[in-house]
Amino acid sequence: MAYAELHCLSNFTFLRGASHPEELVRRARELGYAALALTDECSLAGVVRAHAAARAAGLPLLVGSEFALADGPRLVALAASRRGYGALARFITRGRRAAAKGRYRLARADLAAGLEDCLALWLPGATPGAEEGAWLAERFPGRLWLAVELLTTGTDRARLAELLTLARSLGLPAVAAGDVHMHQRRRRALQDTLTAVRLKTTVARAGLALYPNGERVLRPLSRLAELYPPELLEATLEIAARCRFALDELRYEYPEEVVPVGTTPAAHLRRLVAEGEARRWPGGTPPAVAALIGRELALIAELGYERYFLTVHDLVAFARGRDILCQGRGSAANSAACYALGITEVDPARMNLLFERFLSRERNEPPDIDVDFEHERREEVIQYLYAKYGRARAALTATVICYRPKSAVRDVGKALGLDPAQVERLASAMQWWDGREIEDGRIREAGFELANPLIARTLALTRELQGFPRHLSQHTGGFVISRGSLEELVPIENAAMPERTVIQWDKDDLDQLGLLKVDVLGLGMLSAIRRALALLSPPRGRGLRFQDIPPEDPAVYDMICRADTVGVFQIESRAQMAMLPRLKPRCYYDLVIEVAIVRPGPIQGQMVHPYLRRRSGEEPVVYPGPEVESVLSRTLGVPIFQEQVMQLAMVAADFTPGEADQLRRAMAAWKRRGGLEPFEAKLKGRLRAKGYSQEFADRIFQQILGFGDYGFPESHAASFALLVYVSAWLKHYEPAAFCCALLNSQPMGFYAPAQLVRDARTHGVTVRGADANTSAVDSTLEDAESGAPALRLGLGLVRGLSRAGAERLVAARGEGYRTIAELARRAALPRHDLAALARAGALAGLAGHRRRAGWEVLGVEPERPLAPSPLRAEGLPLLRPPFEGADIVADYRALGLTLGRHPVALLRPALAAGGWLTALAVAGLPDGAAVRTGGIVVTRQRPGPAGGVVFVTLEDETGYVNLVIWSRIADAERRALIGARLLGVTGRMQRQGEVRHVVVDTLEDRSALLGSLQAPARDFR
Amino acid sequence: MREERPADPAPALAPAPLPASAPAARRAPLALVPPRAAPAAGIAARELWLAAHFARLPLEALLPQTSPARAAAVIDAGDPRRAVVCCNERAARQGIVPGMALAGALARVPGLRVEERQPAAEAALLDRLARWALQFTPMVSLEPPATVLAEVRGSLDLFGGAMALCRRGLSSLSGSGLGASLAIAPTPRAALWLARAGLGLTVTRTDALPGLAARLPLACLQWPAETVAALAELGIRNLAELLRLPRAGFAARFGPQRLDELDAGLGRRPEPRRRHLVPERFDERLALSCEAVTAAALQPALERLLANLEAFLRARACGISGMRLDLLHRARVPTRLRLALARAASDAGPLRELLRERLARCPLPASVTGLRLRSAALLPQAPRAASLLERGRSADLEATARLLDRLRARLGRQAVFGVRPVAEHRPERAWRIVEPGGGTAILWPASAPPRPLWMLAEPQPFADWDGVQISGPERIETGWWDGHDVRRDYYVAWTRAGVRLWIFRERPPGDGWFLHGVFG
Repeated sequence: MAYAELHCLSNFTFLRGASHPEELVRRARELGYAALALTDECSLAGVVRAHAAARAAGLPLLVGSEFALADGPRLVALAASRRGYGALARFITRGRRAAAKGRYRLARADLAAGLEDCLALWLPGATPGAEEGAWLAERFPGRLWLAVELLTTGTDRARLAELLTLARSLGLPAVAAGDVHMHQRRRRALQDTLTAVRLKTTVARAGLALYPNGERVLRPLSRLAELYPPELLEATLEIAARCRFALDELRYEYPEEVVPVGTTPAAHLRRLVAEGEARRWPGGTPPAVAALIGRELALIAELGYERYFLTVHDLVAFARGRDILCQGRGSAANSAACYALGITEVDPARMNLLFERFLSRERNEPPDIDVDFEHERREEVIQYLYAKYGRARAALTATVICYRPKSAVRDVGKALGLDPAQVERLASAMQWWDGREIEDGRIREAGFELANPLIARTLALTRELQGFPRHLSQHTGGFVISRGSLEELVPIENAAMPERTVIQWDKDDLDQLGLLKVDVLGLGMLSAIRRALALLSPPRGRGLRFQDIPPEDPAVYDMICRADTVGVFQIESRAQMAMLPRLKPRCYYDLVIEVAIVRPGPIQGQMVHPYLRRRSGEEPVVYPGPEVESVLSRTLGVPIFQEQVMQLAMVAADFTPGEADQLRRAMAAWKRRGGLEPFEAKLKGRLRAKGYSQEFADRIFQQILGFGDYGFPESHAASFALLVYVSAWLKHYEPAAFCCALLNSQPMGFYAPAQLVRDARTHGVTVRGADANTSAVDSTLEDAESGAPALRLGLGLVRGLSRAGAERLVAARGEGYRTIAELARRAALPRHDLAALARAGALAGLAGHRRRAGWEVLGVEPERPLAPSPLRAEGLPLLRPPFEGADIVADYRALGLTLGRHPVALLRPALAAGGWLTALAVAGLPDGAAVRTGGIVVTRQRPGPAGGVVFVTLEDETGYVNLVIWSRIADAERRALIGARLLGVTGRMQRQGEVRHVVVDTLEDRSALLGSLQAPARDFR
Repeated sequence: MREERPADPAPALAPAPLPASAPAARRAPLALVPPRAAPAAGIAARELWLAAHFARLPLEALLPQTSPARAAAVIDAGDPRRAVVCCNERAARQGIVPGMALAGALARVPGLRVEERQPAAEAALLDRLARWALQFTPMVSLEPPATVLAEVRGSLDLFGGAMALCRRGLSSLSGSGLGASLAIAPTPRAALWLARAGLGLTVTRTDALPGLAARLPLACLQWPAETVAALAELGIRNLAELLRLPRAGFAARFGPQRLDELDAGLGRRPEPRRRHLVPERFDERLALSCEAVTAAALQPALERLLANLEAFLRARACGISGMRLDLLHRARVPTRLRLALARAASDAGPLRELLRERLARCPLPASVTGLRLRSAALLPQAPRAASLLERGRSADLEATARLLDRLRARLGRQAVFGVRPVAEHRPERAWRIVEPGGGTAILWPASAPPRPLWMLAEPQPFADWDGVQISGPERIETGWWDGHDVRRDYYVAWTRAGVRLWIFRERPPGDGWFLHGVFG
């Protein structure tokens, strides 16, 4: 006997389905089902995943959806063809667009014309109404079945008889279906929990809303045969056979209009590339590059990707026309053709080895280009896309937001009836930096008994729920552009933001189907670079463009080697700074490696130290074989880039490009879903067979694991490295403009304005405070006696001052304000804006110290248009000017930074008496020396796979101290570590060349010394 | 107040300048601290107010016997940040401070015991504390949420002076576990300030108040956070600095009512307080002329007490819903009988009947020397049903209520109950015991499978089943969440005798069948 399940929900029917689409497909295959229909409620969000799993498992997949009409029957619609699929997607879009995010609304009127090329199952209610069936039968003539779902409720036989009678009376065929919610019965508890979460109640109180049993599961064929008459089972096969649509049919539906009328895509692309060549190489394209371009164009033509490149080019050309800085990255972006087209600035002459992963004939993979734009102007680009292709054809892709331990435990805890404080405590036990794993130790520490059955159930369900999709959110910039109407390709639904819509698929789904997607991303550093260049243009500077920055300047590399890189793109993080003096980058390609090597992947795969040893000559550069040498020679035999791992699998383990591609996808997903085991056996086996050592095979596989989620491709590193160089150049030669641009592009990067300004001042930049009579909204450059420009802080830094208020203040300033009352009146500033200015000391020129200004601001009468406020005679208060410490505290509160002394400098006498060394003194200590020091906590970081080490950076008036805290101590001293703003430590100096850390033995929270000082600490997760 | 002249240093809020040698503010611990007398000079005040501030009252109202070994804190459930309202000493030592968000507090002390604030419990405790204050004076006034005020000037001689009175107050609180801070001042507001500041001072002269201002932090005013923050930004940390601000300027910026408040504190304007009225109850003792050893011997005395109660209730047009009768013994804890009524009563009739039932079933443990009858809180008595048509129904209800009262007095409270269906798939949990006549029926779906009327308390193994299965199975798999996961297939079967049974088999199928119910 055979059976196809036609009514099956996955966990993309949020809070109903209790299994992943992949799990359902695999289980259906195991049970020997003839086909499976995925019919999530008014959604196709899970079908691509199901499709991929079904293809791998060799199971026919039907695409459908379940609907409950507001005024009538429930039904399942199944797409019989591409047209039927389009109609289904359009119908879902209609329902979703008519309701708030996450809901849908469809009524009989919406289905009046039926759904062409769709088959339908009528899901009759508890008391089936013949009228509903008759109404549906008119909409789906010859395409409607009555679904009989027997779920062992004790009345199955009566129900079967009743439905069969009804079907006969209506002249409808009947078919068996399972109302499947889970792939295995053990998901019953999770399914109940989801029901309780959906109904915002507890499982114990959900009562009859829960299903009485676990029969909504993929049931074995033998059991179905006991339940259903054979003709009802056979009908499932008939329906499955009539559904001829598979998602593969959707491939490569690229837009047409990027090609002018009267020419072909290939010819047009060729012409644009030729124009670009003339611009890039005015003296003629070098022969090697010309040959490369020829090969690339031939490949593009062969694979039919012209329209893809033309689309991206169009986008970039638009941005250039608007003076928006942008840069493409990704495997396809770093091609000579893209360089000619202006999609990237990575010059092929500087990077001769990069294009091996450009595009591959065999790999069934669409091109991949991400384009970074200035983050504040990305919206213009998005609006351009909408204008050009229309909302009907261009849309943002979704991001599937999944349950993480914290959100999962919150929902599960509530559903199981834990009280809110307990739930909060459990959640906070999972918060400790990286919450990937639920650690029993933390649960116990939070005061929970693991043996307590309630806690055990909560944790077990939390683990199961983790990774379940929770809702669809808007991707930051992934765009899909279709040839025809998008809503016939994929359903579109409302996003949380008004007027925003999002498709039901995410980037991986589009990738899987080969649809055109372009990532329109925002990058803060591009904004900062454009701003810095603008500050340097006439009249102040010399009018620099991005392309004009002189390459390979040794002085810039000297600065980089000193790790003097606060504010520089990518290499400003603590870990990067620790690497710079060891790696000593001297050229562009070194920066490419630098960007990629300080990543969890290479660190976890233990590639960093071998690379450094080989680079410094401590270890010979050897290769286990000639094939390996060809792949790894540019990184001295150590795989650093994601591409190299793929290539290794191909050249050393004879993976086909297709297999390598599968490996890449599996790598990205194994942390969440596992599934790397088959590749492990294949890879290691083939390596051994080709004569490589077991040790080498193990290491390569370990490296593959390390790349997992964190692998960094060379093609991205190459584009980033350019921005690293340009920003470093600006920092070195134009520190005032660079700092000013960074301040105006906040929030971005690792450092807060306080650190950026402090760094600029140590590099000799004069910094002037925010002032109501001189500052603009943004920070600006002013002339100074020294000749070098001074940096004037902008009013935008004043916390609590509204943007509109700051703009009015500047616009109405004229010759300047004389009193606070005049300022309030002319700029029409509300009291809270004035108070913010007073707190920031920006009214010092008008009223003296900030307390006096504060008093005056409190006395400003709100404007009354009819009765001008009389001058009130009142006494002046005796307000003492604040002490230095209080002033500094107020600076931090109101501006996030101070131009006064460092707060630790004020505490220095007390700290010195306690034996604390300054950062400067610590830097001079020899390796192994005992250290006692402390400072303000600037960053805390626990990189995921670094073995639980916590990195903390302390700041005092003389500089920074980098701490390494092993997890044993971090856990024991967790409270001080999380809570302290002023942290005192003892430990041992560890230095390797220029790299210095203090390895911490003890730490103590000395925040009390700061009184109410609030230095901003940034925690990175 | 001096004349205002803008050019001059402004006339200050307080006329007297701060003495140069103001005693340094030292924060007294929150525990019971006997107040110290402040230097007395000048004219004596007309009133003297005792303020007792209970800084941890929200916590103490919930956890009277909180173990100091465990850190505990109270949060406000309505607050989106779920900020800590107050915490015990142990939590404070571990770095918890009021105002801290719950998430942050838990990050600091993972094992923190967290309770949600309960205003009703706080009000009840403050009410009890008002009774405590009544020992000193009839003029007691409450300053919710956590302070009690009492005008004690007239009582000072009785207690031997202000200091002695405070000591007496503290000692009578010791053992209660409450952290109190007491202060005495000539104005109620100043007493509040001193008590909240935890300074533990007794001030008997109005002119001594300005001299203490430097020791009073702004927090003791309990002004809104934004007002305190605005003042702090001006560098003002205590009342002395506050009082130096120009009056007009202060009033214009912070509101005249704040100025009035300060003036009231310093005795420059009156601030009448509302007197706290203690709710009445009936509470009378009666010593027996000779010790009683039988219940019958108690009757005459009991009758007198009940007659008094009836008169008491009638005079106030009130009823009661319950009462307590204590049988007092010699050198022995009283025997306590509690009575709760199904309906509020305003005459002694039903009480008398019930007491007789109870006493008949309550053997006296020892001879009785006296009786004490104490009513529950008084309830306003609803007027009798006015409608003629309603009368029958109302009398019916009353009769039912009386029957219930009698049955319960005789059989015990638990023995009389109602049954109500519960929305639950597990048959043994699909009903619940409720108050007789209580609860509303739930709606079972019409298509639901049949359920027998008679359910066995426990399913019985059912070995000799030889009936014929007529329907099923009905699969029930649920209940995992409370440790009673049920996995059964139920069938309806006829026995040979024609009885319809409800039987089941465990899943996965074991060897046995169980009988769970019989259809009527």
